Amino acid sequence: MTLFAVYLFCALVGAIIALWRAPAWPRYNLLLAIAAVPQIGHVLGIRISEMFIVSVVAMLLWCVCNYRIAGVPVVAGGAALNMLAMAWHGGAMPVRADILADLGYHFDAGVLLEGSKDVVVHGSPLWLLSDWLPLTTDFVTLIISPGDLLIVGGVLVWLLFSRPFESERKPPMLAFCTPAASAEKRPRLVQGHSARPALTRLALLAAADPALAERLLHDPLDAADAHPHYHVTLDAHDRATLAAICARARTVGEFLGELAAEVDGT
Amino acid sequence: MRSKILRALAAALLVGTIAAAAMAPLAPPPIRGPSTTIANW
Repeated sequence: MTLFAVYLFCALVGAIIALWRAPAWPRYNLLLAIAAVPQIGHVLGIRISEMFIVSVVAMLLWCVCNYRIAGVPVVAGGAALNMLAMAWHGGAMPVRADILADLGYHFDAGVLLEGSKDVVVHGSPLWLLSDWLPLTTDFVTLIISPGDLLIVGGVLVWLLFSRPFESERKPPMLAFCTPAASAEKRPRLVQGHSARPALTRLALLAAADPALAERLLHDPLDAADAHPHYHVTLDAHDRATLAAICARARTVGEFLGELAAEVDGT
Repeated sequence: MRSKILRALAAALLVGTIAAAAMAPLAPPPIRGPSTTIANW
């Protein structure tokens, strides 16, 4: 069955690409299996026109459930084109007799072709959606439809672009930063012993909690005393330093930078 | 490595199922003749 070899080739290409990079994973894939069963039956010669509706509905539901994933809307478009042409011809894909004749195959209209989903037609109002694009290679000749091309394109987009590349990916914690603090560059405290242990503690608390840093910037002494979990005892020198930092700093980022510099003694 | 192989197998299954469900190409070589003749649809 050449058609199954084509499906297997598609699967192999998908596996190789997925081995290289992970795509976003679609949901409700059982729907795809439900959509595929009548189609495989059609290829094997078990032709039940009503089952075509099952394929259409299952495919449609799968596309709707996964429309956010890159490539799925393109696959949906291709499947819709194919299924529209097939619905017009009772569940079989039309292929024009003259296109087959050009390749050396002569069939009368209305003939269902073995090992395929196709029916030979002389003409169709939807012939543009039918199998009419011949692809000839050394190993196999295929006649494909515009819908098939779209599906291949959509699957490639899904495999390659449904997840950002490593270089484009942001660390997940950045997503949870508050907007006011995230825009500014956070200072890094230098590891080691500090001559200002209370300020160090306060700097660590402020670096960990942007809301506390904001409160310290506006009311340093009150916020330092009123931390709900960690009491920080500031001596007169610390208080004076904190007040001086607040006088100079205009933003949380500047406040934390100045505080880190004081703590590190730089 | 094991997870990559599993991912590749799962992707192969999914791509193959999409192809079987939605694609309808015609591969002429196996055509041996009309198997069933039906009226024009």
